[in-house]
Amino acid sequence: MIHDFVFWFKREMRLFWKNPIMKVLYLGGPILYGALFGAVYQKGKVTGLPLVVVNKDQSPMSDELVDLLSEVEALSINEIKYEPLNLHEVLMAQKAYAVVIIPVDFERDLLRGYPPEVNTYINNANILPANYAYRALATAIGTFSVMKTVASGRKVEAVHLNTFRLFNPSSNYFLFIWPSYLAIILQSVVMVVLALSFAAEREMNTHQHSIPRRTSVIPMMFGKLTLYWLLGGIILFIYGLYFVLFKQTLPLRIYPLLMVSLLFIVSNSFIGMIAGLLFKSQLRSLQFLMVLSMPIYIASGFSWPLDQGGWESILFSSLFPFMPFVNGLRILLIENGQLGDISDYLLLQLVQLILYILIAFCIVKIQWKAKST
Amino acid sequence: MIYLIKREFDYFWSNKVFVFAFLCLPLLLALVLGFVYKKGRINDQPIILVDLDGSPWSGRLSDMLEDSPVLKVVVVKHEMVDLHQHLLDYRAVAVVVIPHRFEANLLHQLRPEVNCYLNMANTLTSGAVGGAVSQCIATLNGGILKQETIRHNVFYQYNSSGNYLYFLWPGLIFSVLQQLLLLALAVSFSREVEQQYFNLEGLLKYSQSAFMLILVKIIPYVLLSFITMGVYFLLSGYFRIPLPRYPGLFLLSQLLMVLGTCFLGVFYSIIYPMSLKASQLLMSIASPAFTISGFTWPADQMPAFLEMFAQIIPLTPFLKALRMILFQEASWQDIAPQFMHQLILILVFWGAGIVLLHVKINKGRATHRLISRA
Repeated sequence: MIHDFVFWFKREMRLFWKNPIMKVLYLGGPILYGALFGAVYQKGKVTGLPLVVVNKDQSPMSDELVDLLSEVEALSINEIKYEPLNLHEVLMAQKAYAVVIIPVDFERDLLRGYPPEVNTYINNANILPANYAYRALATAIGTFSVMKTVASGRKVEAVHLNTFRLFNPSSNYFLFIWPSYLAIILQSVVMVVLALSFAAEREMNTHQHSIPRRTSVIPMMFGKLTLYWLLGGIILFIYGLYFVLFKQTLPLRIYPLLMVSLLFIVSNSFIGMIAGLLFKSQLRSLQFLMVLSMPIYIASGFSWPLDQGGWESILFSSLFPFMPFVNGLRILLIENGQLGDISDYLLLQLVQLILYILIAFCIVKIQWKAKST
Repeated sequence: MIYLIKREFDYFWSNKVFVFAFLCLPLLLALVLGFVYKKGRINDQPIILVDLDGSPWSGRLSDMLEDSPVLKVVVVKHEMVDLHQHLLDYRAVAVVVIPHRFEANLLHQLRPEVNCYLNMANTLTSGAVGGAVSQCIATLNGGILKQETIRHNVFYQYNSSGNYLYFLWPGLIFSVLQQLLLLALAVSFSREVEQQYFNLEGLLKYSQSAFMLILVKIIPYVLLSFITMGVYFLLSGYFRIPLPRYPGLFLLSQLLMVLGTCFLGVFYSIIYPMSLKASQLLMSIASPAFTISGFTWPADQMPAFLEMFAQIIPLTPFLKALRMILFQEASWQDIAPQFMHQLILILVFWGAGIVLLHVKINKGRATHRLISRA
C-alpha cells in the first residue's frame, strides 16, 4: 500500500515537472492573479470621485459650505457652477458621481432660522462608488449643519448616535473583497490542474499497460493528489507574503485558517479529479471548469448575503466548497472568529469532501473495471 | 463557404461542453444569478439590541428599529457581556446599545448617547444597516426637536432604489457570454493546426483567403450568441429589469462586443497553435475582465497600468455603454466614444488576425510547393 502510494507520488512529481502548462498554472497563477487583484483594490478606499457643485447663492455662507465639500477626501470638486445645469448631461458616463445644489437665499434663510434645502443628486448607476459619495456628502453637510446650529445657540439633537465600526473601520474595500479573490484563484488553479492531470492520464491511455504494477484505487488517488496538497502549502505561503506586501494585518490565529484552507484545497482537488476523469481530453475538462467557476463565485454569498437570494441559489452554492469556505474565511480572518464560530460551515465542508471522495472513488472503480473487461 | 460553416457547426455539436455552455448555460446561469440578487435590496439583517434602560422611551426606539425593513432584531439583551461573541454567534451585523437612564436623560435634555457597533466585515450589509440605524435616530431626533438647521434632500438618479439586481445582473450575463465566446474561438484555428488540417489538402483547399476563413470561423458563434441575447431579454422581463429606452443601440453595442470578442479569440488562436494553451491564455484574460473593467470598482481608482490593460478587452467599453444605455437613457451621441472604442478594438484584432493568418497561409503554400517539388 505504502509502496504503491510512493510510486504514484513520484510518478506524479515527474509528470508535473515535465509539463510546463501545469507548472505555470499551479505556481504562477496564484502569484500573478494575487498581484493583479491586489493591485486592483490596492487603494481600498475611493478618493477623488468627481463632484459638481451648483452654488446659486454665492454668499459667504455658501462659499463656506463649498470649502468644506472641497476638503472631503472621497470627493473632488470638478466644477463649481452658478446657474442651473443639465443634470443628465453632467451625470452621464460617470463624469460626476454627485451634484450638490445650494439654493438661492441659502445664507438669508440660515440666518433667519428657516431651514434652507440643499439638494444632492447621486449618480446611482454604479452603486458602489455612489454609496461612498453619499456617505461623504451626508457627513460633510451634516457637520456643516451642526456647526451652524451650535453657532445659533440652539439644541443640536435630543439623542446622540455613536457609531463604532468594528473589524474594518474605514470600510476598506480591499479588506472586504480580498479573501474572496484569494479563494477564487485557489479554486480555479486547483480544479484545473487536477483535471488536466487526470485527463492527461486518459489521453495517454495507451500507457496503462506500461504502468509496471497493478495497484488499487486508493493509493493511486492519494498518491497523485498529495503532491498538489503539498504544493498548495506553497500557494498559501505566497498568499501570506501578499498580506505583507499589500500591508494587510496578518490574521490573529493562523491554524484555523490553515485548516479550512487545506480542506478547501483537498475538496477542490477531488472536484478537479472528477472533471478530469469524466472528460475525454484536457481541453474539454478545462472548458468545463471555466464554465463552472463563474457562477460558483457569484452565488457564494460573499458580497451579497446568501439569505437574500432564493433557495435555488442557496442549493446551488451548497454543492461547492467555495461557499462554506469564503464565508467561514471571512469570520476567521476579519472578525477574528474561532473554529467553533464557524462549525456549520466546517461541517458542510467536511460533508462535501466525503461526498466528493466517494464520487471520485466510484468513478475510478467503474472506469478501471470497464477497462479490464 | 457554406460547407465550412456547416463543418464549424458540426464541430460545435460534437463538443458536448460547448453545446451545454451555449444552449443551456446562459439560461441556467441567468436564472441562478437572478435568484441570487432577486430581492435586489438588503432586508432583514440581523442586529442585536442591548436595552440597558428598559423604559417606555427605549421601547419606542427599539420599536422603530424593529419596524425598519432593513433591520431584524434577533435578540434583545439587557446587559453588555461579551458583545464580540454575540456578533459571531448570531452572525449579526450590528449591536445597538441603548444606555442606562436613556429616558431620564432624554427628558432632562441631557442628550443620551446611543451606541451602534457595526460589523464591517461585509461592507455591503454594514452600509445598509448603519444607514438604517442612523435613519431611526434621526427620525427620533426630528420628532422630539421638530426643527432642523439645513434640510438635506438626496435624490438617487438612474437606479433610485439602489437595486442590486439591476446593478450587477446585466453586466454579469454578458461577461459570461464573453467568456464562452473566447473559450469557443480559442480553438478555432489552433485545432485545425493540431489536427494537421491546416494545409492545402485540408482547410486551405476550400479557401485561401484569410478574410474568408476568419469569417467562416466566427459566423456560427455570432449566430449562437443571439441565443444568449434572447435569453437576456426574456429573463430581464421575468426579473423586471427595465428595458433600455433605445433597444436598437443596446443591440448594436452587444453585437459589437460579440464581434470584438470573436476577433480577439481568433487572433489568439492563430498565434498559439496549441489549443490547450490558447484556451488557457484567453481564460487568463477573460477571468479578470469583469473585475478590471470598472463595472463595480471604478476604473479610475485602480493603478493606471490596469486601467490601460482593461482598454484592450472588448468587454470594457461594452459594459460602460451597457450601463449608460440601460439606466441613464443614453442616446447615440452619449455613447459615441464607447462605440468608437469598440470599433477600434474590432478593427485592430480583425486586422491583426487577417495579417497573421495570411502569413501562415503563405507559409503553408510554400511548404506545399517544397513537398510537391521534392
